[in-house]
Amino acid sequence: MSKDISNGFHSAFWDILFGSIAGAIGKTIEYPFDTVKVRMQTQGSQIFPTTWSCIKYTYENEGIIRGFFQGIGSPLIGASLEHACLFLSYNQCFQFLLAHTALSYLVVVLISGAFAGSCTSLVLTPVELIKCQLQVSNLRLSLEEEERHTSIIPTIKAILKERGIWGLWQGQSGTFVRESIGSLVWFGTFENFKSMFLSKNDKDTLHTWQLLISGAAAGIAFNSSMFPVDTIKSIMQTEHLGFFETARKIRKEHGIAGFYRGIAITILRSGPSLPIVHNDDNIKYVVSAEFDNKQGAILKYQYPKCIPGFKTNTYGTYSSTHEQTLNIASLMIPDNVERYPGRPDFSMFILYKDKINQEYKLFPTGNLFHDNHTTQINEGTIPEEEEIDASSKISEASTIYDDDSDDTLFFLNVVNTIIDESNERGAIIQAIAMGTTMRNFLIFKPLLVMTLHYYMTYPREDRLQVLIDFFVMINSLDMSLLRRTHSRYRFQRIVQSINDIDVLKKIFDLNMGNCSRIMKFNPNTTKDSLGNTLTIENGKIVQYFTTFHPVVLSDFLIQLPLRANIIKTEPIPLELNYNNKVLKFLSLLIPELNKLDSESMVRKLVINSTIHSKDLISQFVLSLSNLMGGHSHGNSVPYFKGRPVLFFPYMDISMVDALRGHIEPESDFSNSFVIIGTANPIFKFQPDIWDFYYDLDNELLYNSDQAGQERLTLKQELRNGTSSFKKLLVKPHAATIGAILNIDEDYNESSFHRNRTGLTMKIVQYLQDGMHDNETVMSVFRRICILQILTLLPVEGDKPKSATTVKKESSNGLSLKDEYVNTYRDFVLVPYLFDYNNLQIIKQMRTLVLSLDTLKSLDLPMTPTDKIYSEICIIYETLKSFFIIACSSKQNLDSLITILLNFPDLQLSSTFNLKKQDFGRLNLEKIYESNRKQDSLNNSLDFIDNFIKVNGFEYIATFLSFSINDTNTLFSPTLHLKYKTVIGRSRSLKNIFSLNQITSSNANLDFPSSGASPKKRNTISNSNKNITAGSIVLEKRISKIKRVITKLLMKIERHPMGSILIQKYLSKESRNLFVSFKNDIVKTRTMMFEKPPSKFNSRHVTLPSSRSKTNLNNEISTIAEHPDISRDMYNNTFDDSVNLSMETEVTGTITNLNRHPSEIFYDAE
Amino acid sequence: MGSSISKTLGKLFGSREMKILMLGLDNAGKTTILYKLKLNKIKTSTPTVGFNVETVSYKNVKFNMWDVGGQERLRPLWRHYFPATTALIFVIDSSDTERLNEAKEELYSIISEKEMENVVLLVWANKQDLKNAMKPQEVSDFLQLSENLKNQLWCVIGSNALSGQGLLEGLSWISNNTSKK
Repeated sequence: MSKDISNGFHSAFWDILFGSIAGAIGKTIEYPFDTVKVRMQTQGSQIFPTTWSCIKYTYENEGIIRGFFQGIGSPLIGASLEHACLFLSYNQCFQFLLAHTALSYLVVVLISGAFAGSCTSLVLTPVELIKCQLQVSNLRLSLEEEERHTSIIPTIKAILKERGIWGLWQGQSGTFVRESIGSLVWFGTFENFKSMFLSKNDKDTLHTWQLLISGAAAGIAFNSSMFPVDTIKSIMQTEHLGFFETARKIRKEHGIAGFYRGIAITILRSGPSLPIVHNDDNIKYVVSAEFDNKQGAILKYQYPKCIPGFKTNTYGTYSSTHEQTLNIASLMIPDNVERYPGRPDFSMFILYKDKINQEYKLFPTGNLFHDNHTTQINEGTIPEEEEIDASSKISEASTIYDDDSDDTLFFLNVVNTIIDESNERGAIIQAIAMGTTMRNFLIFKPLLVMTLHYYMTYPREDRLQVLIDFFVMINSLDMSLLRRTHSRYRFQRIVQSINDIDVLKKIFDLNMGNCSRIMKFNPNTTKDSLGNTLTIENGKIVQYFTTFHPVVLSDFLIQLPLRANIIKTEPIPLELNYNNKVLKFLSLLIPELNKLDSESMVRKLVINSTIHSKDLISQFVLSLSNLMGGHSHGNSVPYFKGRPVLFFPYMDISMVDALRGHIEPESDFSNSFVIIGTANPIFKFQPDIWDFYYDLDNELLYNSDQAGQERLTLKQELRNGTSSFKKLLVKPHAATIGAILNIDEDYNESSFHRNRTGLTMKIVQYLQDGMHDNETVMSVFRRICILQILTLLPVEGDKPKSATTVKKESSNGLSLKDEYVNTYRDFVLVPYLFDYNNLQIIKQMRTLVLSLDTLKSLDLPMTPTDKIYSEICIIYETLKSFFIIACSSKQNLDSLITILLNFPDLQLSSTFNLKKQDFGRLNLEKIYESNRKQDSLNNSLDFIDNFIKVNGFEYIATFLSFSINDTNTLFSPTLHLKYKTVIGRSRSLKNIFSLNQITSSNANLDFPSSGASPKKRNTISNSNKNITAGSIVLEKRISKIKRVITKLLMKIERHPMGSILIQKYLSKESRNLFVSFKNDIVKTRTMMFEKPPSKFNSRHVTLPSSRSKTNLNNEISTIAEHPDISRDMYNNTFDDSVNLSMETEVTGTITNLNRHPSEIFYDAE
Repeated sequence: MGSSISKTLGKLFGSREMKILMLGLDNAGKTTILYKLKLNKIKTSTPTVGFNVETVSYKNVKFNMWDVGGQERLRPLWRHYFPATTALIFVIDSSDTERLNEAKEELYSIISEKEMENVVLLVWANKQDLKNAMKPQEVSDFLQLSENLKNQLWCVIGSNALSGQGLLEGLSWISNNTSKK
């Protein structure tokens, strides 16, 4: 017995010794995995969504030794204690139970295990506590400023100091549960496996591998059964909470899955990651900064990690070597913010990703823009190929301007000053900025300013958590719907072009289904993919933070919904009204631009305001970026000669040197148009960095030329001098300006150019008179842009000449855009109009309008039929090309509708030479009035209203009312206003035709009809010489045109927004005509369906489409008067096949068009 | 042309205008001085983020005074404010003896700049109201300006921004010593 005992002690000693050594080695191997586990258990899903992310973060930020093996000393010491304790207590208990009770072996094992576990837990708790604290301490260090301990003794000291001796047993309950039940499971499994192997073995001993497997199985059983408890314990020990409190907290924050965070690394050591519960697409970074009384602006926290390229050291202070980081802090704490305590102010800045080293920079690097140059220039060049080829003519791929690119981060920053007597300098100045790739970052403004409020008022230790809460809150939303909607740029262009609120309301009326059809979403959606409530109201997407529960932030914040406009009116949506500031600025800048020679169109511009908010300055600069069609990122449109436009919504004086380096002659950006917003008038004293300096406070523009300096001093005197001096100065002042304006009177051409007022300038003046919303201003600009483009585009008639011009231009490397900028000295306000397909449509529209004009102005009785016929042919061809465009692809239909909506009154370009005319002295109101026989235009507001009222729809429909049988009018009197003038002198066409009718011959019924080119015109006149054309031909042609128009309108009507647009933009008369023509077509097709003649096999294809048209018809109330039995029948018979077959029909039509243009429109007659 | 008119008028009415740059370490009292001169009020002081600029008229001279924040981080930016400066005012917290050497270093690094070689230098030994404040003469001795500044006009004046003591004295010194230019 004694031998037994001594033997037992002996073996127990070796057990403990070897167990400890094995334990220590095991711990060393196991430790990194354990670290990852603890980090995942304690840090929550927002920091480490996946196991891999945790490993990666730890490795990248802390390295192997410091990261993974932090605090290994504690368990190494602990391992021996643990093993000693565990095996001693187990053995003792086991022996005791075996000797004194009659329990079965297994029960004894289990009870002993539980007992050993509970004993061990007493030893283990302090060991594990220290280990857990150390394992996450690095994490805290990098996120918080407070000092944490990185070695064992200070940690113990700190715990003893903070919580006393019992503090070491924090989490005892968790450990107890884990160890007691866990040991029970462990020993149970181990013994079971052992006996299983033993029964298979011949001998009484086990092979090593069998022991290993038994151990491993026991370990897995232990970990998987006890994992939730382990999680609770880990959190208890790092956050000092009770057992059940912790359990509740985990459940509330992360759900059941929260208990199993990190299980993958523990059990499988690798494997599939847990589902990602949030996305970081909405915002990428949250950064906070403050004004340090000793140092100045410094960065404080960066979350979730340092922005690449903007490293701060552990305590959030700046590292003096890193100038960029200094700059970003000074951008976040802008000049003079201390002057308005309690009034939060916003500023914006942009960071560009350097593709080479993947770091962000305040200035873009050259490679950012490189890829885009060539494509952009090609796109704008006038194509030489004029032939219509339905399949390839209009490419579907046009540049996506509004694409959110990962390469550019927009930072919205909010800063505030709080008077604080306890501070040695009496105030605290702090700022939070969020970095996002989303262009409509302004929607976060209210949330951000509230967050700053909490950030500044909460105790220091909660501040980081405020940032984390904010970050997680924004990213708890699935904003993909909004992104998707905004990236539908063709759809956006159409809705942008609609000025009428009623129309927009209809489009966004969910019940009508248009909105959901266009954007392809289910109108009944009430939740986003992450479970947040989502609604669509009045053209806005409203999202609530349903799934997010703040840790420290007030619940009030999550009740604020996020509202975002579905319509993205500008590349970067802003709150600034163009009227106040931007138009004023344009009216000052454009004349100055006119004075420049063509090569120096590219300029540097500084906009300064000391009294306005930084918010306004930033938005002002961004609005200029919007106007120039670029928005300072990789996909922006090069402004002139492929050079990018650079924008700095807010710049600090500290960036001046960097800016100098950036725009120096050797740099990629030497000739860029640079626009800088600032709040420091010292920029005025750095004339080398600007060509124009705009004083936003006094609305004065300075030129860096000598003359400009003169004006500058004079102005200063004006402002500083007493009133009596002012009078003295006024005259010289004016004289100086005169001198400036006439610097180069050497050659006439240029001085004329320099002094003229362009159309844009003139209209800007009109716009300034009244209050207009930004949409109106933009739609005015779009129309001006089309007018200007038309003047640049070669006229249809003289094709050969224009072709050479084009060649010449392209050899000069001058793209249409450059030519535009050069000619008009305007910004490229609407870049997409320069797309090839849009240019084609614009051109065709002009042809159409001109022909209609010619037709109306012909002195009909005197005009030979062939003249009329040729015009009609042109109209036919143009409309036909529109129909082809509309049918070829959805993209092209969208483009067509956009252009139609924006098509201006061509009067301005036909009456005036936009390139050369000085619009300064012209009274456009008067001219409009007399030309259009309008009610008098009382003021400029009326003028603008009329200017944007015109659209292309009515031009298209005009011909519908054309009738040669009407003896009184060529066009019905109720037509578009433009044609009112015609009414008086309309002649009867019948008389003319009756003369020719005699000679008309059936043989010539089919005129060659590819029409518009001069060659064809000749053919027509030739045939006229033979006196073969006649009214029958003419009539047939007219009815063909009407069919084309009807079909085109039907095609447009089929567009998701089409019926609403037609309802709105066609006059009542045209609409009625359209409806009746449509009914004819539909009827014809219906009849064909009922009695399909065998020779018209191909028409089967068109059949279902007629049904779909009927379906659309029903939406139009007027059609209700003609109920058609057969139509109803189709309504019931065909349902789902419609959409599919519709496409077939279109393709069929196009194929037909390609082969025989004249055969497409099957005549019913 | 404009400037010539200005000069003519200036001669007629004896009014001049000059740009004055006021620098110094943080918490030296620059902003307090500026607003004492401008408004004759003590503005509750907060650290200056960036700068303040005000025009102060005294004896027919318009002093266009730029007060630039003096925090460590802002000091490298001072040079951007140098162009077209007529006079440099350097404000020293006379009570902060610990940082006097730091102030001295900063001052010398400013006046060694080429752009600043023609400016007149006024040093305001501020916070004279505080008990432990160094006397202007002591400050002057410490700065060793007489040994190092041979070609520049300079002057050290004791000041108290709260009472306004020494401020107008300083401005008139600047006015008197720049009138020849």
